[in-house]
Amino acid sequence: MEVFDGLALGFATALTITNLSYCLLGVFLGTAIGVLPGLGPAATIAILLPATFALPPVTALIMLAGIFYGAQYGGSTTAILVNLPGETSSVVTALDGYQMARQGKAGRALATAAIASFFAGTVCTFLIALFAPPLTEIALKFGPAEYFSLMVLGLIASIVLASGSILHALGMIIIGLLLGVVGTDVNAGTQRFTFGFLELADGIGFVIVAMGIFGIGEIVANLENEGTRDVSIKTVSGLMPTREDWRRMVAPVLRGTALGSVLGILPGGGAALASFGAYALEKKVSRNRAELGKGAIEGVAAPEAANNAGAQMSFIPMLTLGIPANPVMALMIGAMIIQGIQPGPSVIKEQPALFWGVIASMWIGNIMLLVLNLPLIGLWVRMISVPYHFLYPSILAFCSIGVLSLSNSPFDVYLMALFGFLGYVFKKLDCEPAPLLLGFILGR
Amino acid sequence: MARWITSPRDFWTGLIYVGLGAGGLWLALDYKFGTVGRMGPGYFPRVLAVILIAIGLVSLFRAFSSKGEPVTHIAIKPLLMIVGAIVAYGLLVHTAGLIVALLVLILMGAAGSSQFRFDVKAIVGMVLLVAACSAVFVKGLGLPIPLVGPWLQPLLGVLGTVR
Amino acid sequence: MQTNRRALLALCGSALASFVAISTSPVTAQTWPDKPITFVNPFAAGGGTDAFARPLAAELTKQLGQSVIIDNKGGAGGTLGAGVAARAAKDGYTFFVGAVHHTIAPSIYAKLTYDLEKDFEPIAVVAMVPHVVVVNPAKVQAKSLKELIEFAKANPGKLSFGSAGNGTSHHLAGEMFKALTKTDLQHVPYKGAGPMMQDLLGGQIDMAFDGLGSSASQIKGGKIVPLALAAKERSSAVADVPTSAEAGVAGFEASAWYGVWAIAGTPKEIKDKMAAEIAKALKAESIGSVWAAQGAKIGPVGADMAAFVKSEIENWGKIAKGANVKIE
Repeated sequence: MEVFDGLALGFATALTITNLSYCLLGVFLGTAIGVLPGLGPAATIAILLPATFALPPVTALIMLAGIFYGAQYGGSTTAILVNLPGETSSVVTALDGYQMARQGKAGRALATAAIASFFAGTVCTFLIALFAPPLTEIALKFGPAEYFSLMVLGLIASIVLASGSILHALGMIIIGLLLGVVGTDVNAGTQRFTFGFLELADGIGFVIVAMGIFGIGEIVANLENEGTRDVSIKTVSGLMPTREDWRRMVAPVLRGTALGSVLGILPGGGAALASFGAYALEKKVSRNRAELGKGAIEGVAAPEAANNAGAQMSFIPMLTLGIPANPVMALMIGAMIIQGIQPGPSVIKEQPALFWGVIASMWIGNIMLLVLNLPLIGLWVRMISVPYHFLYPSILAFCSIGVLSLSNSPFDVYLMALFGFLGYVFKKLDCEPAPLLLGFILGR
Repeated sequence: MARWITSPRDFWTGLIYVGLGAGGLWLALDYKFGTVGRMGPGYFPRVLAVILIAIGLVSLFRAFSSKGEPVTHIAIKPLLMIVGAIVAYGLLVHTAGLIVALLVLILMGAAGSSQFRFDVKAIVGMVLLVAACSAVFVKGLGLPIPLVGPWLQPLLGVLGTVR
Repeated sequence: MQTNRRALLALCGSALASFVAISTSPVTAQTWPDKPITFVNPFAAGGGTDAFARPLAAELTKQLGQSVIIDNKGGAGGTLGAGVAARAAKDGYTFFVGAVHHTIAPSIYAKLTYDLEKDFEPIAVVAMVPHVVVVNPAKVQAKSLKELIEFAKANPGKLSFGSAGNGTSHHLAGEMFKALTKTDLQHVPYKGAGPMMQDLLGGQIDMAFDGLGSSASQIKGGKIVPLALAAKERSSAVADVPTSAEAGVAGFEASAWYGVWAIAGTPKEIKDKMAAEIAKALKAESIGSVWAAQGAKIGPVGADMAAFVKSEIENWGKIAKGANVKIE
């Protein structure tokens, strides 16, 4: 019954007025930066780190965690509304989510994303509470051979992502893998495909490729024939999912959650693969698989559940071992150190209130996100119904500032312009960008 | 477009794939290949480049053997304006500062649309957008981007003395 | 419309003319700082230096009454950001947060866009974290450094050590160890210290020369076993771990360290003031606890730092050359 004592302690910790308000502040900030393309949780948490000095350790971590998973929620909002995936995980959501938005179902897509994320978040909170230590042991057993198998699996899944020509999709995967090669080779220290640019020595940032190919490419595509074609959103039909939608989303959400939980505990690329994997799975098993890629609700529900599950589970190695699975977790470890807490295997025993408090706050934060996001849907939908030629300059501005926030380098801005150009060319040739991005993730 | 190319999209895609593959292969020849057991830094890129060339060739073959969709009208003006606007922004943001860079980005970007009118409504919207971006990103989040860059710093001095 | 545009152009033109004519006013040390100060951190957010630079910047902000902003310009093992910082204005509003990496870089990179000793002027080494020899107890039975060396000599090339990447201090500390003990260990580079620790705990690699900061908690948790500290003195963070000399490998000393430099040409008054402010900040209670948790000590300042940087460049250069470590 240790777990229930732990959870009781956790809720007692998380439910104080202070912790609740900082949790709310965290998820609110997270949603905001998730919505703004390019600006990621890592940069935001780094900036806010000194501000957490004055807070008690639990409160600081609760807020920072809120920013992280709040950003996952917010990231899917822009992916659905304007085809602009701000986070790795929301690329897949953009595929069907944006199509739904163009068919006037933006509200239903956003609600589905929020509900799927909430469900996955709830399940994972309890998975972490019940099984965190044993799950850590499993993750540690993952060696090079297992990673290689996972990568092969990912490559197979990426072909399934294609809704058009398989041949062209294969080519896009290879181009993605080649883009992933750009940078310094880990083993030999050779700089590959950097053309002598130091800026490329660490590889190309995912956000730059995604914003360029998806976001900028989409803007240009929308501007062609705008006189004859209405690019703005059709009359919005309902903000909430219909009974039929609910029925259709149950199975994908369950499958996505399961897949996301498994992949999320793996360090490194695990969480990023989750949403791609979930989408590929739907393409294989869903009853409505023919509709996927054309605005199917399954294509939003499954990857959103998977990415939120993955994000939540990536806390496990950080909480149980003090090992960061991603830069955000590295910053949270920094926050703990600043607070005088030594992150590591002893945290559960020595700081039970911190460990359980953060876990309990994740569930509370997920409720807050649901409550916060559902009413916002109406506002979002109204925002994208303004004429497109007023909307897209703001998207351009947000992208350009966001990409600059990565490493404050104009070089990244030029790269985004280049990928925007490529994105439009590929679009004209029916070469889909999603397989390229998955290849890119796998190749890094 | 020549008549014997029956599937133009396959043709152009094939051409791009072969071109990128060949370029990649040429660059990757400089990196050590190694062996299958101990792969050098050139192993993976060269294998990938060869596969890409092969896919491109199949696509080119299909361009002459099967019937496919034509490439629809290419929006040259929006493409150049948008890409150009982003490049201009990149050039200006650290020199003239964020405010000027954003103004240029928004004006040039917006001019890519055939619906663009330089009227009061557009100006008000633009000013509001620039103000909001400056307030949120620089003042609020503290991103280290200069609002007014070194090129325009002296101008601030002038304004300061006037005041 | 046409007239509007013309008016706008005219306005731009006159504005241009007016500011070209007026020169910038010189910086005065008396009023410094009267605007925010930027610390260029050449590593990405969440990377090595952040854990020290962010708390320091927060403390300095409190003391100076002006915000000290950390500008993360990551890339190319810290050399990209260093190159950018080297070209920054020398008005006392930009400083550079460098690290041990920058003393290794000159010997492993074919060319650099800056010269650490000429483009920057040392202010203070703010934190030094010794490396520690750690092994996975499930993979390596050795209970002492001596046993480890015996095992390695009996089984050349069998033991593998992880590093945070090619040419990092983790890697070169390993090469230094190999040269000093005449052993043959296999190097396995990772993309950072986090993934490396993951594989060390999982037994994918046998040992590592990890920074004490990230190892201390794992050592306390009993997941990895420390054999020696690569430093002259023991650390209070892991008091029972012997120094390298005590364990029988005298001269095996390697630290990950982080320092603040001014841009060459910064007015002396400002440099002195910054040095005093940093010294004061490092005494603050909030900083003390952060440093202690990571086993970090404060290093040499001013001219001592310049000498230290020089010796580091030489020492790492010898090791890199001996082991033929290069980034091309």
